[in-house]
Amino acid sequence: MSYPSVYPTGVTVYNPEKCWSGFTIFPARELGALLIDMNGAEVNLWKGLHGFPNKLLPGGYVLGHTGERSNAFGMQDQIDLIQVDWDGNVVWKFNQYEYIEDPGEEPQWMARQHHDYQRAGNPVGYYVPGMEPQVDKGNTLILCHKNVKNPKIADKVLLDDVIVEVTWEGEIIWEWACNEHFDEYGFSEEAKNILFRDPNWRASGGGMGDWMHINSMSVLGPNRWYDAGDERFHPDNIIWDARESNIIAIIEKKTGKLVWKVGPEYNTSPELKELGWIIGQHHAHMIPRGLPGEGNILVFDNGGWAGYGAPNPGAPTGAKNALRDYSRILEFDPVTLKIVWQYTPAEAGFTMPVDASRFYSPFISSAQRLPNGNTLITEGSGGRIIEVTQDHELVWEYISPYWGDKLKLNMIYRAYRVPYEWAPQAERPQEVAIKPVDVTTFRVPGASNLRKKETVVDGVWSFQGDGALCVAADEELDQ
Amino acid sequence: MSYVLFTATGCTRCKIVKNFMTDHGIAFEEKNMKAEGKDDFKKFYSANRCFITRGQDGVEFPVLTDGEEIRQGIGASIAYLSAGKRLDGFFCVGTLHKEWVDGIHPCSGNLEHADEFLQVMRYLKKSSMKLQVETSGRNSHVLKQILEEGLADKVVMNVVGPTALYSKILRKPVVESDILKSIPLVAQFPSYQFQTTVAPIIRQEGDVPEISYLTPAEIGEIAKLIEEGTGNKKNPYLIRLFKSSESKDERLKSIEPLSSLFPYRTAARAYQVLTELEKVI
Amino acid sequence: MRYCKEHTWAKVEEGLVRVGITDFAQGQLGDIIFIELPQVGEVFNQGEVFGQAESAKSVSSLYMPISGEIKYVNDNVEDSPDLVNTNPYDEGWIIIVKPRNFSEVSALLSEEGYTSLLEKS
Repeated sequence: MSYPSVYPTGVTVYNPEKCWSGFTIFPARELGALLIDMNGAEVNLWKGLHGFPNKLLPGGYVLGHTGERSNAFGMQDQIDLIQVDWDGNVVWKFNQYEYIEDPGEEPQWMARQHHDYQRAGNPVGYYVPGMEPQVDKGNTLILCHKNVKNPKIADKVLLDDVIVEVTWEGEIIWEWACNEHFDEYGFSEEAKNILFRDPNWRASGGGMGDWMHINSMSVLGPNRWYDAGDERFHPDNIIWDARESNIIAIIEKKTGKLVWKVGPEYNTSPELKELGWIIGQHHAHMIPRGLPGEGNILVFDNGGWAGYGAPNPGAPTGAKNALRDYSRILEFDPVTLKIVWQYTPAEAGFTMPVDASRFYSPFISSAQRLPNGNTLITEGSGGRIIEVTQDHELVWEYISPYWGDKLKLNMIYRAYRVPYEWAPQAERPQEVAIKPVDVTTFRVPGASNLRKKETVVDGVWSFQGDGALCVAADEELDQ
Repeated sequence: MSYVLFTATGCTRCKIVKNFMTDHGIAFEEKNMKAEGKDDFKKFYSANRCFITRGQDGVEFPVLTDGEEIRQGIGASIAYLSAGKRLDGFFCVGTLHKEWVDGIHPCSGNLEHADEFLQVMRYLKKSSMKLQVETSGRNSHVLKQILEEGLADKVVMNVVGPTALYSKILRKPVVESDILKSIPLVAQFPSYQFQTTVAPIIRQEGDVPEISYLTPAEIGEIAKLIEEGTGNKKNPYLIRLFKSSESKDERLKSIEPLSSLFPYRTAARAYQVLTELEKVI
Repeated sequence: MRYCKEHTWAKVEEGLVRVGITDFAQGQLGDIIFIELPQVGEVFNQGEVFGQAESAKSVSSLYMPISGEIKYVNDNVEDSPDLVNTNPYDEGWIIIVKPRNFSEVSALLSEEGYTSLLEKS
């Protein structure tokens, strides 16, 4: 799609009346963990702190990592998970998962953490009334990497996803490995075939198959499904999603067995067909009790390219055979699979499908439900964070001004909104409304806004809508 | 004395035992349980069922009998044919397949017959088998001989506990230095592994014996022992869960199973960084 | 004759129920070299293991298709376990049970039901 080469960064829209105002924490590209207020002022920058993701805890603590393992040896392995205070002092650290001796590097313990972690007290790592994450005790669930061989999946080294539960003292007390449950994921023969030959081969670390690429992991917490007797939704159970396979799954904490899933195929039942293909998704989690929509699944369905299956013209080998060039945020009922709320290019006001990829992040991204029913969305690849209301009104927008030197993106992996009270060291900021600029008349300095002459042409007809574009669009699509 | 050898079609180990008997001029009758010996094996099996070991894939062949004793598997059969009961303890049935032979225990036979034991190993090795030796670390000089002659392809050392607890756990006299000598030897074999089963230990005998599991601290001590013995933090070290049903001691059968081995792994990893837990299926 | 999904059959005879293993089960086991039988008088619940069938390759547990008390055991299969291979439905029967509840028998699978179960697996 066409994007302007010049556009503003920072906060571009802010409606204090409709927003659930607070601070926003996110990892700014090649900069550090950045906490901003609603007008975009930078409240605190934890410089150089990596964030995969960063999360703020009550008391002004921030979680992150001191670094990432060299890409020559590892793939997205964060060397540790640390908690630092408002002034950057490390108050908690975990790295004792695997002892690593990379050539030319100091031998050291590494967490090999990636994509997610959850501190006890709160199931999802964002603000939920009455469920504060613990800051000076409590276990942490951490998503880690482990290299494994599993001939059932492929004959190559696999980069497997592992979830560990670690005590405050740093002891591992529970561990779950994705590859050990291969038979439970429901891959078709076609999918197994291409998965065996190409388990999403990545060159980093000397080559390994990042076969599932789990990118989100959280706890269900108390919910109405379990209260009504549905054991699949035990509050301790863990929900994760896997980008490469299009699977969202819930595993039982007690046994490690898979108890609920959607994907890897979305055409195997009428309910799944109605839900539509979820592709390359991120941040699938259950909305916790105490927030509007509690008990529903909220997911950033990226689109892009993902999955294993039958070859098609867009995927000649069957690798990444599901394709879509726009994103959707879905809130759906985990029992009926009915979509309860969504934010797609249509709700964003773009003409489907011709302008749909204006709302599109083919990787990273997230969605957080806020206490007033709004949703904070990270459209990650373009470095855009927005807050939208239940009625899809855009009430806050921020574009990250931080492009990397090494990677020319202003991408944001995942952003979280927190209440002001969680950072008591910061002054309560002023909330100044920012009305959206009228882009039809806005000009940069030097550009003209003049129309020098208007000419009447007799006999011209009035213009029509989108009924006869080169491709079918909007209502025509639904017929 | 007349020997009967029960064999199965296509069983290489059976052929090696037959060759051994032919080479040494020992008379025997072969009964192939898949052919003419089917009925005889059935009769033999139902009469001696409790003495016959079954592995993952069923009865392990060959089965050798002289009417009084039964020996099963290649190692135990050849040992019995070479030295009668003198080598009991050195060999048991084993569970590995194809070219691999296990069930060889230099630590638990009668040392007076160590030469005969090594002789059997040499014969097995000469028959192109790969040998896996399992040891608790006793009889380190026999292990040394095995190493020097290149008789074993893999060694698994069961470090049953910290050296101070060894005699208590094995229930036989153990010389600490013997165990300490074995550790560096083990690490010199082409393939090796250290392992420890987290088992309950009778700490104090008596009418009401004092029984408790090996502790994470004790596993840490073992891992340290391995580090000191090998000068290496990166040995393969496996921690195994105790299965009370497999215990020979009635007093240990009723012990509550441990809920988690993770604290043990954490303790061991301080000295042996590659420590893993046995997968329990 | 009715069937249980654990591959035993049950046949009502004069107030008692004769039980054996199915032709499919004996085929899976291969040459049976030993059958471990229960004692007369023992009582089992439906689904409990009442014995073992052993071949050189494998050991299979035998599951009670119904609840009841063992009235007779087939001593012949103890001596000639191959009867179970050759005649699983008559000479190779295994036990005769006094059922606790006859409705358990009628609730078992029909021949059709059992056959379709085999086809599915």
